[in-house]
Amino acid sequence: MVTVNLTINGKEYSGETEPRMLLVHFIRDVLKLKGTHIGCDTGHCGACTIQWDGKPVKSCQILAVQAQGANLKTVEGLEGPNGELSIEQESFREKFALQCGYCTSGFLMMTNYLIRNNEEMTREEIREKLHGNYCMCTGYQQIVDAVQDAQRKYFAQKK
Amino acid sequence: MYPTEFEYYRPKTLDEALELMKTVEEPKVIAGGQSLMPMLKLRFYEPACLIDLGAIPELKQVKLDEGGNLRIGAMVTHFEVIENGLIRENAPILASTAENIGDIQIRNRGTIGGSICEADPSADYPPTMFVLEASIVLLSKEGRRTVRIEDFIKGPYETDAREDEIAVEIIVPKSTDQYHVEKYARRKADFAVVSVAAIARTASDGSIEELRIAAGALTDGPERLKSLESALKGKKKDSVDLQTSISETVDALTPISDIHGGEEYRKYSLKMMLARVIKELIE
Amino acid sequence: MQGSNSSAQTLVYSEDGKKSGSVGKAVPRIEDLKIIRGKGGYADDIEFADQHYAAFHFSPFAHAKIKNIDISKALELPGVIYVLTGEEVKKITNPMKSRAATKSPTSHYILAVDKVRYMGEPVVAVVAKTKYIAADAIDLIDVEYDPLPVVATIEDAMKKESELIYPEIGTNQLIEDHFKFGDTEKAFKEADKIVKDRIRIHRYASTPLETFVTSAFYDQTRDELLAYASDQQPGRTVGSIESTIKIPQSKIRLIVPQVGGGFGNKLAIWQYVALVSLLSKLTGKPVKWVQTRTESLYAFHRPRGFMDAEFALRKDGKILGARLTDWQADGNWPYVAALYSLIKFANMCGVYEIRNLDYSYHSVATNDPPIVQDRGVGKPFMSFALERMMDKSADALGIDRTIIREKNFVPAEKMPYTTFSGEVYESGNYPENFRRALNFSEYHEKLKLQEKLRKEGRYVGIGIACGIEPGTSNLGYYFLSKEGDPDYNGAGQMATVEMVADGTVKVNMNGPEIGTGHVTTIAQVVSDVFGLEPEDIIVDGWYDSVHGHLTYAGTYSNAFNDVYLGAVMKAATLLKEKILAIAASLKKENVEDLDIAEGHVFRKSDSEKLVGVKELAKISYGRLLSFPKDQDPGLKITASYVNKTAKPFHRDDFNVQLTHSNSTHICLVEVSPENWNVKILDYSIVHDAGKVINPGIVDGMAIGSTVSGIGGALYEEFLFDEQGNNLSLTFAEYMKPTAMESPEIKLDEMESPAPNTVFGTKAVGEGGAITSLGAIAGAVEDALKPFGVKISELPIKPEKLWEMVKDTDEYKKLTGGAN
Ligand SMILES: Cc1cc2nc3c(=O)[nH]c(=O)nc-3n(C[C@H](O)[C@H](O)[C@H](O)COP(=O)(O)OP(=O)(O)OC[C@H]3O[C@@H](n4cnc5c(N)ncnc54)[C@H](O)[C@@H]3O)c2cc1C
Ligand code: FES
Ligand code: FES
Repeated sequence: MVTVNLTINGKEYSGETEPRMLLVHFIRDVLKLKGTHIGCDTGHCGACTIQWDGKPVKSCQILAVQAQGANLKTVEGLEGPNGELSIEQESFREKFALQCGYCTSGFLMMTNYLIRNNEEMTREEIREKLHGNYCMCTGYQQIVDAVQDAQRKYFAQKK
Repeated sequence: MYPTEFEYYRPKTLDEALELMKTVEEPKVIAGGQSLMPMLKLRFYEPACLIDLGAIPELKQVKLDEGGNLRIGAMVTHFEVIENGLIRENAPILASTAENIGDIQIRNRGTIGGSICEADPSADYPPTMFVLEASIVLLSKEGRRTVRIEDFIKGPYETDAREDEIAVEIIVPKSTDQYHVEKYARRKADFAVVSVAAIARTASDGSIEELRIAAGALTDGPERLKSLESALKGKKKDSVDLQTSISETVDALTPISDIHGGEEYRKYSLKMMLARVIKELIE
Repeated sequence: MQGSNSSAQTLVYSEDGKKSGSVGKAVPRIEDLKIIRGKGGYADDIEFADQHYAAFHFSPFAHAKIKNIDISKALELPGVIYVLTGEEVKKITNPMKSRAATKSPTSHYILAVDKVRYMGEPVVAVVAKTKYIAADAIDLIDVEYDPLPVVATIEDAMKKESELIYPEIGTNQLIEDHFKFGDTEKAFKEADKIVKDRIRIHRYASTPLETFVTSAFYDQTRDELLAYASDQQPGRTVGSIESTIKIPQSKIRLIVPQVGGGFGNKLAIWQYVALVSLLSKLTGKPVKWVQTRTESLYAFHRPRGFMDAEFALRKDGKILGARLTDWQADGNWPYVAALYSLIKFANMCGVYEIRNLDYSYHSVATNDPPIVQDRGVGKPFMSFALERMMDKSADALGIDRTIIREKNFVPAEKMPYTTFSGEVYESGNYPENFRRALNFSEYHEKLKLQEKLRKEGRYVGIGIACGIEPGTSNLGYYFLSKEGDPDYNGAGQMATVEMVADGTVKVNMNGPEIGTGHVTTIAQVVSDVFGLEPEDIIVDGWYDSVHGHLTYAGTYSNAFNDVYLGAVMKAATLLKEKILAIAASLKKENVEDLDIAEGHVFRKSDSEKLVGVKELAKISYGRLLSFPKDQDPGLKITASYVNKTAKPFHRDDFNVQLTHSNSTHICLVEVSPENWNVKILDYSIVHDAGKVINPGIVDGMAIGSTVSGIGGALYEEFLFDEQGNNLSLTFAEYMKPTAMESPEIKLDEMESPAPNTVFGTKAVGEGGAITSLGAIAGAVEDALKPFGVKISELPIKPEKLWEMVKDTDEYKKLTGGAN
């Protein structure tokens, strides 16, 4: 067993794990942060997307031991200190961008990254940047609406 | 979904890593893990020891050497290949190739060294490396050697690297010629059904001065299409019988045949893609 | 109109055009508030103390005898506490039964006994302390198989010498039946033209992003089972746990937390709920199973099959009669045999008037994996076959594809319309829907565009499909082909509405929330009853069997809008009446003069507030002695609701489903001559789902279901080799459309209210999956008209198109003969 120490959403965590445990299992089963989901075995679906040093990665494609000392962000880290919804959370809700919601954490982590690291994106560009995340329910259209809306809000806020 | 047990090492220096490669039982390198992790999860692969290259700083560098060649550390991610100024300037085709790989999340972890060592016959980098005539620097306790990419990739999922060797660097000769790199897959994150990388230079008299073309998604791994190159090189662009040359070359190839497309279908598509790509490049 | 938002604004609810309460408004979803914070509470988020995990050894063979199972090494592995095999299962459980088949197999248990019938069938179960150890233990189990000849296709299965999947039945044909309506013989005699085709459907599935998850704890001190499952039909699961592993219903508590997508797929989880429950009972430990994606791709799917269709046509395009013979490879999970064939009666004539129709069906067992009621069940295939036949008929008669449809629509003035078999289309205006779709999609401009692009050498085509989307299952159709009276039905639901002592209104819909916005929709309708805001209503999105349910309660078959809302409204209305009666009694008023709004009971005549609702609630629970004599204390009402338009079953007059939405899909596609890949350039839908309670939610369903149909039409297929091995076990082979492959869908809505539901609502959720297949196929066929390509099967894969075109003259022109 190895002790892994890392930072998630600005908070320090520590947990015991075998070297073989996936980071997503560590986050969910050991640290009990259940917002990050699992939808496949092969790195295709993006349900497990988190941010590592601000960049989105798939936490099922990483071992927990590799994240020793890492600085991560999960969906639980989006809301403000008093539970205020973040702009991407607001946009997803306002645009009906979730149905079963199982894919939503992954999409939110992508959106949080994309709106801050791109010029204003067209719908087509948004679709291209989100193709590593599957949604079986929505057909993606309202998700694209939400990302566009969140980026607009982000730019307005920055001004 | 649940890898088997293994020992895990995270060396901080190359030396330490090479020592481990020599001493531990069945060492297996993990780079970005984007190909290896699915194999571990599905238990297609059950290594005894994993050596993680993620903590070795010198593997993450991109430099230009005295000869004007790019030297790209094996642990440079696909994302960094796209973003890196030196690469964009000295081998823009490589940056374009990286854009075709997987999705944003995969590109943030997957590495150039890992992709080449994986030697997936349908991966995006290899055909580009073939036309760039890149080389791989391998290091072990026994010493260093540099292997040309065509010799390094020996077949599908098979490379020239020995069990105790680590790929540390990719040497990419500068290339700013016209280029085109393209894969056809039904969805963008899928491996290529048909793929082509090409660079070309036309002389002022309109003749084809330089032309290098490679194809991926072939049964025995990527190939330089030398017969096609020589059929066209030196010729004036309007004097070539492109269709016949392409047909002859492609008919001699053996594309992969699987549920994403059979051999004949892929040949057809490869011919069509080559015809368009070459026309565009030499115009 | 673009997307959801603009159409959201155009929708108004009440009859007089005035907005009435929150119904009809795109109220943001209440359930989202948890989910977007990462606190959705899915089945895998729930853990028991001392949680143990199950794993299964799944059969690697499609058909084999089990010769020997060696579990000794697995038992020695530290952390492993139990290994279960078929031998023990046979001793302590009952086999699974068929619902529709006249003769049920008697040898199919929840864990394979003696033989395996599909690749992926569970054979051995392990319980261990962690998921990882459970997986290790599976690797240590040694099962010796003796392969049997594989029955791969319907043709194989029907051969005399074929190996039998269920020897005890004596045939691989589980059920067949023949129906005759009207005078089809005469129709065919009088026809100017007869058009025939064999149309095929492939294996695909909706693959919810959350896989099957179930956990159970059998409390030996109370002999009670507590189980959690991502289950869509928990009412049935409770019964099936009883019938297989013999725990009495009265001792079972089943809870369904937020489900991460259902699409019918999760109707099949019950076998695993039973298994995990049994494992807990045997070990005394809480046991959880989280299916991996590969395991989920083994099964359950839609069946593959084909339909031989024949249309008798008059030369102006009128369909005089039809003969349909349906063959479905129903895999081998006898539970749902024939279901795909029987449910086709719900949309067998689609939006068209066809009075003379012969229908035969054959449900055949093969070594394909089991099937499940995936999104729309047999209706997508039915609609695909019909729309293909419409296009083929038009082509054969040399008339336009729009004209043949217009010739055959059920006329608006015949609504409500009873089909040949007794299905009642309760409302709708199909010709108008079609006209609007032609306008909305700019059909005539598209024709011009197509002509222009064709001249430029581009292969662009337009596809049209009109479809019916039925809702609410009258499940008795299982008994069309066999004797007996169904003791279950999908046409009813039970719900509880209460006002607790602090005045808060709570609703228990007692069915699973699978992503379809039930919590919000119920909060909207109930808030209107009590004059409150939707946020004020607490709706329990979790199903919990302790609250009681009707047999076969669940979220499936598009029944929510009908029976869930029916039950909730009934309970809410009764509760409101009770509150008013109490208030009237206390305040000495006439109950008819009172109403509730903004937290008060008021007198309607002068809006005088008489008493606060909070106050009344407190009194109703506590002040028992001074309470009105004619009322019982407590404010909790449980009500059951049945849609009375469900008919008892007679072979010559029956309805399979009770509401019928409809839509027209028109799309424009382009096929690349370089690789024959299909790209959707434009997609328009005019949708009529009756009254809409929350347009944000309903639009999402219409779009989402369409993309799921597009996946089935173009990308998704489970492929098998001759040995019945499933070749599509990851998302690399089983290709789902991503955001890049999914088109922007333009959506317009019509509202033809259903007379037989409380709000006039109809089915939503399956429509796109039903109607899109025909639109895509028609468009691709149209695009490749220069090659003379005919599409009769799905999915439309590039290589298949290439195979179809490569010997044509147009192809030779295109490639200069060099390829
Ligand atoms: C969903 C998905 C989509 C993808 N799509 C594409 C795509 O479109 N195109 C494409 O080309 N690829 C694709 N990939 C693969 C991806 O590019 C991988 O990142 C890459 O193939 C491997 O790089 P890695 O750093 O992740 O290597 P790892 O997975 O860590 O290693 C791969 C192999 O190389 C060996 N290895 C790694 N580094 C070294 C080294 N320095 N020395 C010696 N041996 C080494 C490892 O032992 C292992 O055998 C996809 C992957 C996924 C999961
Ligand atoms: S669970 Fe990580 S990509 Fe699917
Ligand atoms: S909302 Fe269900 S998977 Fe996206």
